[in-house]
Parts: sequence; structure tokens; C-alpha cells
Amino acid sequence: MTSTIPTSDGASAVPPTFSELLATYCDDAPAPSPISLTAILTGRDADPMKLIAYYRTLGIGVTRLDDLLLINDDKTEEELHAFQCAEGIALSIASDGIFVFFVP
Amino acid sequence: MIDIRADDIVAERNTNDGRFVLFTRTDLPPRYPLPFLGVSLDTGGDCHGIIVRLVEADGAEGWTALDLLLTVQARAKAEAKRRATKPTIAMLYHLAQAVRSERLRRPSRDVSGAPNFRPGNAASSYPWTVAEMRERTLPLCPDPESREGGVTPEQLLIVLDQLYADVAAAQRSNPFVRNARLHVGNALTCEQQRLVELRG
Repeated sequence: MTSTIPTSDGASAVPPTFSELLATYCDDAPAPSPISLTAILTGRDADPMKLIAYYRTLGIGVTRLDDLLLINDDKTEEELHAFQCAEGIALSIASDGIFVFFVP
Repeated sequence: MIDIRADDIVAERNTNDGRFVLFTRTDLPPRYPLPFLGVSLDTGGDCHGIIVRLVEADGAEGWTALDLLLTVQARAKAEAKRRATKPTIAMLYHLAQAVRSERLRRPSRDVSGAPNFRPGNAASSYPWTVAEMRERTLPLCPDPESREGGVTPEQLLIVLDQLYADVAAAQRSNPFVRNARLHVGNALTCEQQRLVELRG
């Protein structure tokens, strides 16, 4: 499921850039550094917040960027919500109130 | 009708659609850190009373600031799951900041469990509508528009907004109180904005 910023008429807008998304949702939140999904999947970088591992516990094997959007279809998952951005996928983490930003 | 002496009401606030939030000092213990002990909340035709305390050590049985923050945060998470709109995501950011500040503000040895959440009797868009804490219950509105019976998230944020305003007046130099107050105020604005957008 693709999640973009809803417009007033209910239609989905073109995916915003990550900085636009961040400015739209919480303009005083610190901007996080992008995380390369490829680097995690190839073992070049660690999974910094263990989010890919967490997806696996929910039965979602992440092999490409769009797989991160599948979290929105899990009716019981309230901590994470994925947003499509122009450059990648942003995940909001509810309890921390922050965004994590994944790029290819 | 609610039975509260006018002299006991220390503050009266309202939601944007007119639900009252009455702060009362009936049975206020000596040296209590807040100017009020009870809060009467208009549930849309009825009234629900809660006891509010800053932390558990204040002695009175009731809802601490952290209990109320965690309850409204949990509702905001459920709302974001239902519909992840700008005001709700922004509200989660501000609530997370407020929770963090409140945890830092609390005495280190102070212990608090987290509220439990369970479904109520009314059909709801949310997986739960009743918050429970130490056998106290807080029935929340079952509908996202906060029109039906129950305490609304906006009312809980008003309680927290008043609580932090009162604490800030007594602890002007405490950065955690200042930060929590700022973010609770912002969260309240977000919730009111969410309701405006939802109600149309």
C-alpha cells in the first residue's frame, strides 16, 4: 500500500521528497541521515535500528525498498508507518516520534 | 447533573466543540504539587471524574502525568494506523517528546506501570477504547471524530496542558517541565487541527 500525503479532495499527491515530508509532518524534527537498504542487505552496513530484522519477525522479508510499505497492511502494527517519498521510503516510529529514511 | 461546589472549581476549560473540563480542589491534600486533585470530564451527556497526580509518590490514587501521556499517545498511534494524516503524525512527534521529558523529569526511583488498554462496549474504529490503570478506568470516545460518548483525546490533552502550566508556574527553571509543556501544547493544537479536518 502506498502512503502519500492525502490532499483535501482525498486524492493522493505525487510522492514528496523526504525533506518535504519531514517539513509537512513535523517541521521542528531533526532530519535523519539516509540509510541504504542495499548496504544493509549486502552486509556492508549494520541494520542500525534493527528495523529489517523487526520486519522479519512480522513475517515480512525485505528484499527491496517497496517491501517496507507492506508494514501499512499489518492491522496490528501501530509503531511503524511507511511513507513513499521521491527518493525512498520513510518510516515513522510512533513511540519515538521520529522518521527513519531508507534509500536504495 | 454533577455535584461540585463552585468554590471547589479552580479552572474551567472547554474543548473546541464545548465539552467541559473542570479542575477541582475538593479533598486536595496539604502540600499537593498541583492546585487541583480531581478533573471532571464532559463525556457528551454524562461526566467522568478522574483523580490526577504528578507522580505516584503524591499519594492520591489516580492518573499520573505519564499515565495520561501514554494513554493519549496510544490513542494517537491507533489513529495513525487508521489514518496517517499530518496532524496525527505531528502529534505523535510532540507526544514522544513530551513522554521523553516527563520520564526525565520524574524522580529516578519513582515507579510507574503502563496503562492497559481494552475494548469497550461500543463499536469502535479502534482496537481499544478503555484505558485501565490500577483498577481505575478511563473510557475514551469510540469514534475518531470525538462526537460520541466518552472522554476525548482533546480533553486529556487539555488536562495535561493545565497540569504542565501549573507545574511550570512552580518550577520555572526545570527544562523538562518546560519541554513537556511546550510539546503537550503543540500536541493539543495538532489534535484540534485533526478534528477540524475530520469534521469538515
